[in-house]
Amino acid sequence: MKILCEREKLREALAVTTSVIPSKSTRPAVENVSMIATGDALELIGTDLDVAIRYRIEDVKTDEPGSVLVPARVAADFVRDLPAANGATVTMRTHGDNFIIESGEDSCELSTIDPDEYPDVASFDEADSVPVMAATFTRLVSRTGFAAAREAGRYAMHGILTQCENDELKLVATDGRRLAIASAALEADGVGPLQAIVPPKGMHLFCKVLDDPTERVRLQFGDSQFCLKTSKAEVFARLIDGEFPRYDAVVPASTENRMDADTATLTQKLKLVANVTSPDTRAVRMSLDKGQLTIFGRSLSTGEATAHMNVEFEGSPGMISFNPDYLLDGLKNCEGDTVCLEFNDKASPGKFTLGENYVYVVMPITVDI
Amino acid sequence: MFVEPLVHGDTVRRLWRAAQLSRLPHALLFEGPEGVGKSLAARWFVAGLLCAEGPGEPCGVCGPCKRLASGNHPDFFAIDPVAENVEQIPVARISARSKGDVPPEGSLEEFLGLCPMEGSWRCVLVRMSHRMNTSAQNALLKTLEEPRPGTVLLLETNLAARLLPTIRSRCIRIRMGGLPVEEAHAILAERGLEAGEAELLARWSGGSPGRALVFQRRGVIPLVRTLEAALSGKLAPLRAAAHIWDLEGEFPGKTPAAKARGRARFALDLMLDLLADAEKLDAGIDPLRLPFGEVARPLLPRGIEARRRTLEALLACRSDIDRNLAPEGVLERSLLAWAGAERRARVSH
Repeated sequence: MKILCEREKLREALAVTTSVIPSKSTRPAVENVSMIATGDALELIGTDLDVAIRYRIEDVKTDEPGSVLVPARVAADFVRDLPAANGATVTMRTHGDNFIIESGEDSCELSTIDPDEYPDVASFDEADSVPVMAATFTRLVSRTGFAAAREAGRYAMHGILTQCENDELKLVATDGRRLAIASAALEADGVGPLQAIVPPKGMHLFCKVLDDPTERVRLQFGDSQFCLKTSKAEVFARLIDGEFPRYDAVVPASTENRMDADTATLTQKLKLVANVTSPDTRAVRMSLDKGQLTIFGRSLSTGEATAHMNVEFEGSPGMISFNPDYLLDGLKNCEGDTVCLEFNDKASPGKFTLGENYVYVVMPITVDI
Repeated sequence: MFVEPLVHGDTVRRLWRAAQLSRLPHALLFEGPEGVGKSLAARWFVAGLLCAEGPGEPCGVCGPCKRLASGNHPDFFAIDPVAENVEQIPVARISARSKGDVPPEGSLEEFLGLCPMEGSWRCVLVRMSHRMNTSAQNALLKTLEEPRPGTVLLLETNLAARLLPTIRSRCIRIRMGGLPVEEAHAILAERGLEAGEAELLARWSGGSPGRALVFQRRGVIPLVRTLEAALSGKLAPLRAAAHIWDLEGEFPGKTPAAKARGRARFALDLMLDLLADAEKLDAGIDPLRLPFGEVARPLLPRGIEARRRTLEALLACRSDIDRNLAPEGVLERSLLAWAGAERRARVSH
C-alpha cells in the first residue's frame, strides 16, 4: 500500500476514528485503526465492538492500493503533531511488516498486524436505507435518549427503540419509570415497518458525526446493526438483543384532568421545591384547583417548601406526585412556551406533551408526602 | 492454528451436524477427567461454528478463524480461570447486575446483551465451570434457561458434581473420557518426555495427557516412589515426609506457604488414589484398568479395620489442608496414620 493525502484531512479522519477506539481492550486488534486504500479514496475504520465508524477521505493519490492495521493512538498522535512547515501532504506506505508515515523530513515506522485479525465491520447498504435530515435525527435523539435505562441488567431498556412506520420516524426510550416518545415525518413514502433497539452510546456517536444540521443522511436498519451514513462517514451500532417493552399501553388514551402551564415558570418552581427534597424522598406533590397549581415538597431532615403558580386547568381538583428530576429532564427538552400535563388520578401515569409529536409519560409516586 | 482433539473429533463433528440441521442445543456441558482435551475440543467446536465455511471443520485461513485464533473474534466470549489466574469465577464475570468490581473483560450478560457482530452465532466458553461460585452459578441460570437465538453456551468441567443440579439439568452433557494409554503415551513422547517416563505418566494419569504433564511438572515419579517406600515399611514415615519436601516440583500458589499447601494436597490426593486402586485390586479388578495397577497392591493395609482407619485419617488430613493447617504436620500425620495402621494390622495378625 502506498498513498499520498492531505495532512489536515488525515488528521481529522484519525481524530474522529480514534474517538471510538479503546486505548486498552481484551481483544488487542481493536486497539488498531484499519486503513484501506482504494482508487482515489482512503477509508479508516475504527471500532470498540459496540460501535464502529468508517471514515472516508476523498481525493487521495493511491499509488498502490491495499489495507493495513496500525496502532491507532500512535498514528493519530504522530499525524496530529506533524509541524505545518513539513507541508500539506503526508505519504503513507507499507514496508514489509511495517507501515511508514512520512511528511517533509519527518517520518515514523509503525508495526502492523494481519488485517484479517480485525473484526469484520459491515458496509452501508444504500438499497434499503431511509433518508432523514440530520437536524431531525439529532432532535429526536436528544428528546428521548435521557429516558433510557442506566441500571445494569435491564438490557432492552438500555436502548432507544427506533421505528419507521406510517411514514414517520419514531424514537422511544424508557427506564420503567418514565417514557419518552418523539417522532417526525419522513421525507420518503412507503417506508417500513422497520425497527431496531439502538444503544445510547451508538446514538451519541451518530449525533457527534452529524456536524451539518442541513445534511440529508441515510439510516439503515440491519438485522444486527443500525447504520447511519453521512457524506464523510458511515457509523454502525450493534443492536441490543432483546424485546422492547410494549409501551403503547402506558400512554393514557383519555384523561379526565388537563393542565396547561408556562414551561419556564413550571421549571423554575419545580427546581425551587426540589431543593428541599432529599435523595431518599425525591418527590414533589402537585395539587391542582381552579387555575392554581401548588407544588409541595418535604424532607424529614431538611424541612418543606411550597410554590404556587397560575395554570389553565380542566378537570376536578386533585393531586399527583412525581420525582422532580424526571420532570426537569423532560422540561429541558420542551421546545414550546407551554407544557401540557394530562392525568386521571394520583395513581395513574402523567402524560406531558412537550412539543409537537413529543410525549413524555412519567409514573407517579404514590407514597404520601 | 486449531488442532483436532484426539478421540473427541467425532463428538464435535456430530455437534456441527446438529448445527447444520438447526438442532444444536443452546447449552452444552463438556465433562470428563482433567487434561483429556475437553477445552481443546470446545475451542475446536467454536472455531468450526464461527468459520466462514462452517458449521464444520475450521479452515484456519478465513477471517473468523484468524480472529478466533488471535483472540480477536467479537462473537466469542471466554471465561478462563486458568488464563486469568483466579481460583474462583466471581459473579461479576457472569452478571452485570453484581455489585462487585466490573472486570475489564466484561460480563457474560453484557456480551449477550448485543446482537452478534459478524455472523449468526455467539459462543461463550466457561472453562473449569465448577470454579464458578454459587452466586455466579445462580446468575448463569437465567441465561442458560432462555438464551437468544444463535447463542451457544459451552461449560467445561472435570468436576460436574460441583455444579448446581439446576445448571447440569439445563445442559446437554457431553462426556469425554480419557485417551487410550498408547495414544496418551505418544502425545507425551511428542512433547519430549523419555519413553519410560512417558509410559509411566500416561498410565498413572489414566490416559490424560494434560494430567500427565501436570504430574511431570510436580515430580510425581519420585513422589510415588517415596510414598511406596514409606507405606510398605521400607522408609520411616517421618523421613519420607521430610524427603517429600526436598523433591523437585512446581506447585500452584503465589507464596511459599500456598505452594507448600499445594504440595501436601497433591501428595494426599496421590495417597487417596493409591489406596483406591489398592482396594479395587483387592476386589478383583484387572490391574491394567487401574492407573497405578500393581504399584498399589503391596500398599493395602491388612484387615478391614486398618483400611477404614487409613481412609478416615487421609480424608481428615485432606480437609485439614483445606482448613489451612500447617501442611508439614498434616503430611507427617497422614504417613504415620497409614504406616501405623499397617504396622498394627501386622502385629495383630
